[in-house]
Amino acid sequence: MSLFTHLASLKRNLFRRKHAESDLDAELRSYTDLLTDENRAQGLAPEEARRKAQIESGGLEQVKENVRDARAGHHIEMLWRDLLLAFRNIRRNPVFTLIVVLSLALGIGANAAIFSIADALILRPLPVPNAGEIIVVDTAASKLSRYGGSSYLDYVDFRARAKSFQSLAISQPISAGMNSSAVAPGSRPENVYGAMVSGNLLSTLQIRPIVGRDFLPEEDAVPDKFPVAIISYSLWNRVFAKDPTIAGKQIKLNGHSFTIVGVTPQSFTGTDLFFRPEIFVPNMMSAEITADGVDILKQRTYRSYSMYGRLNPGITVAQAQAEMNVIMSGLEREHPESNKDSVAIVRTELARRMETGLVAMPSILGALVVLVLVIACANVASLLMARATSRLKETATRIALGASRARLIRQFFTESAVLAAFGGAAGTLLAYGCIQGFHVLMPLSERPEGPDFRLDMRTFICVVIASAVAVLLFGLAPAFMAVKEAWSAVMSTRSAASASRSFSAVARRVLIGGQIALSVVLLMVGGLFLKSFSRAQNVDVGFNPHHLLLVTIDPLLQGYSTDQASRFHEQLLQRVAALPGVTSATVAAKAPFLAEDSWDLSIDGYTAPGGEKFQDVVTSEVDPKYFSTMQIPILYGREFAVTDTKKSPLVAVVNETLVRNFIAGAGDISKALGHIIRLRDNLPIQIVGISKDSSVGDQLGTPPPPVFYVPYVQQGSSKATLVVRSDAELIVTLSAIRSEIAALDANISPVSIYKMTDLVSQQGLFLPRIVAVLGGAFGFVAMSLATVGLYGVVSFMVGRRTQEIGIRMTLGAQRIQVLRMVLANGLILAGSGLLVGLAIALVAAPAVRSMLVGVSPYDPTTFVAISAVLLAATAVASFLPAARATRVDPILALRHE
Amino acid sequence: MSPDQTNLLLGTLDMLILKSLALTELHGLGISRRIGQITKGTFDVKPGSLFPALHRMEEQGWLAASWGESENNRRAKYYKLTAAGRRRLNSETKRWSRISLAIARALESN
Repeated sequence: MSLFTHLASLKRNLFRRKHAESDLDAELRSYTDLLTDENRAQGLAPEEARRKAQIESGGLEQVKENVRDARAGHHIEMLWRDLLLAFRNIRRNPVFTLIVVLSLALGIGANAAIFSIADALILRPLPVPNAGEIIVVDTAASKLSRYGGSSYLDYVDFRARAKSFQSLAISQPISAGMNSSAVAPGSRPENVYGAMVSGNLLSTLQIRPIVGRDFLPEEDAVPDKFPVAIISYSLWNRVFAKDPTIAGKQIKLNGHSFTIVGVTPQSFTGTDLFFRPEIFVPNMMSAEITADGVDILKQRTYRSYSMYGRLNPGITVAQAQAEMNVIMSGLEREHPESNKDSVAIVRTELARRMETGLVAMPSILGALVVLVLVIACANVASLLMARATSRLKETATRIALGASRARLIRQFFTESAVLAAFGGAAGTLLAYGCIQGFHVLMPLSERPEGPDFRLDMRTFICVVIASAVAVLLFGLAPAFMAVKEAWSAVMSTRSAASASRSFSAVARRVLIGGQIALSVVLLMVGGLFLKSFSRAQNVDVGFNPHHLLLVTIDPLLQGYSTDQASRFHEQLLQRVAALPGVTSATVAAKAPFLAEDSWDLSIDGYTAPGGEKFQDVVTSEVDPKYFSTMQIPILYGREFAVTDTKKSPLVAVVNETLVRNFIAGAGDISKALGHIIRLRDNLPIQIVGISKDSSVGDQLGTPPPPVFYVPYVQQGSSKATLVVRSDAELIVTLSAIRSEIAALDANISPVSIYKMTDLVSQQGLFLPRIVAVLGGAFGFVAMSLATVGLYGVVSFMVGRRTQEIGIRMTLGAQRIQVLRMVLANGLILAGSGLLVGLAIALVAAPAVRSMLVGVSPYDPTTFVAISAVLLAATAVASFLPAARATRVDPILALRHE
Repeated sequence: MSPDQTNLLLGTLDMLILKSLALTELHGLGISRRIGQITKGTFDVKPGSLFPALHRMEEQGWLAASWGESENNRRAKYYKLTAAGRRRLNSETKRWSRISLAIARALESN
């Protein structure tokens, strides 16, 4: 058929539907008339002739339905009509619609949100072309480990020897003080976070600068000679206002002049999902950028690089691994002092990601969310079923009038689809809100790091799929069931009401019971974590976090030398200590919950079980009075004093755990005083004090790690945090501190400012907070859904038994008896759901034990409280319809059928 | 109604309708009667299948419909073959001959 006739008929059917309908009526009428004439011609009486003709024509409605079906454009017309009907039904039942849409929105929205978490944590491919080809090579220091960085010298050897890779590149995170006022007037000095890379990193990743050029081979070969940098799109946008002539302009990094040579594309956010570097400098400039830059290029033990590559065509990961094994054995022979036992692990970037523990968090949340989705969908299904049942008569009538089964199912289905579309739209909004919430809940950081949650196209596709599945599962089943029941109601002489007393009624009760059980489980999780969260806030962090202000300053940003910087800190400290209200002030390179660093230490007399001499230990460089300001008790010996200077013997304070782990074991810890600890430079550092354990910034409730403190003046770096304890309002003290800083150097401003209590609650309670919030929210949502579902089930039961209740009341039943009967019906259902839920919670409890602080997973108060809340909610849900049942008018009820 | 009702093979109804309209235009009942006549009562087409087929074929452009007067002065909708319908009848006839010949041979062989 030609397109033209098709369109013509479509037009006719759509725009002249009324006409087509009456035309069809006339045609069929004329058919019957003609048949009557024919019958009369055969000698039948007029009445008889007409009757026979009508019988022979069959059900005219049915014929009409078939004709409509046969027409082109019919499907669009039907869809339109179904949609209109669906909208009319939806408008007629706003409460029903609201509940269904909300249920779906919660289920779908939570799923989309969790998908975006999983996406940000593990699923999203690296933002580079052909990301699936990216290979990561780990160099582990022992055969036991699967992870580890590579040293520059190892990398040089890999690159020279390995034939499997078409390209191999390295990168490590750096931070540097950037002063860009020469290019962007008015911009303030700031810390930028970036990566120190081999010159071929971008080409290996197949990233081409959008402005300027990539690094040149000589920039990757001669140390200290080519101060060049490539900046990210975000930095280009943020600081340089997308200056198209940026290439060739000069900025200062740590006081050294660097020339910007290129800008990376907006899509490229680095080689890691969690760290988005804003500036790239070649390895050859390491001395200018990092404190230990010279060693990075010369020491095989400085294994701080991540290594990325692409394989040659036709080479498999296994072949590359085999080649790397040979190369590693060679390096082990050539450099036994640094490469003994070390191994290289070759994996695709994706495979490596899947091996990390990161998979756990999305899985736990995913399990929660699937529960909510199941509850939401069960609720929707049960509501749809209930409504289908209440429309049984209407459906049965339409069947009797000749509507086909397919037609009815299609119409029910259209209604579900419209509901799901609304649910999906609302769910998307909800997901968007959740994702904003995640950003708020994430720990604070000055660095461009942390998972990047987004509601992107892929999340949106996930929403669409979830909505589609919801329609299929929870629209189709009730539609089939309703039509089947209506059919059986038509076919048999049973009344419509008794026909519904079948599978769907039982199914609804099971669904509701299950929902209640699941919501009990979710509420338990939420309740336990909420309690854990409030307990954790009072956990002793080992120091007094109240009235503490942390102000971080980095004079290197203004091109200060290290010596100038420490002089600056000294002067500032004197001025701040003299401020009114300030009781104590000190300087620390790394304050707890703000920053953490660890150094390699060798402790005299201790060797790790694997034979490794050096231990990776959390280290902080602190000034005198650090311990008294933080109020961390010194158990033995002394804290640092002004007499510990650059020229005096090197000293250290260590915490109890360090002594227990490496020196004294279970014995007397005071023996550790005078013990010697060495850094890589092998100079002896004597322990002069032992502090009580205090938190360094891990999740609260986890045991503190070993900590090593050294005097700031002996080992200090430039960036430091002023730790101030003040009796005055912290905001007042802060503005006083700001003016003192400005008085010393008007160009310097704080990098960051925090109240210690905020930091502790933000960082230390991140996990309990997020689980408590999510668990509590999910639990509440689940309970609301279950309560609504229960209300529906009991109302439905009351509706179906109206006649029976009428008879009972006619025969003398009291209102209270009716009330009790209906209430019992609801509460038995709620009670059994509760029992099952509690049983599941008891069995599942050990799974969350490790995540709870100071709360047993069997905490009786939580169990009782949750049960009470749930029973109260379900009692209300059953009482409302029960009260309605007692107002049944017996006479009306008996006429009901 | 023929006591020996043969079910219409899939696709044969269209062909029979086209054939019944080959000579002249007819209304619905006329088509039904004409099919009964040319198949010697083997097929009796009921309105339930006739009208959907007529409308479908009209949409496909094989038939054209118009209102007219019947022999006993009743208004009736008459169908006639379009050019496309005639071509369709031709090709259907050829196809059907091939098939029926092949089936006859198949059944006779042993």
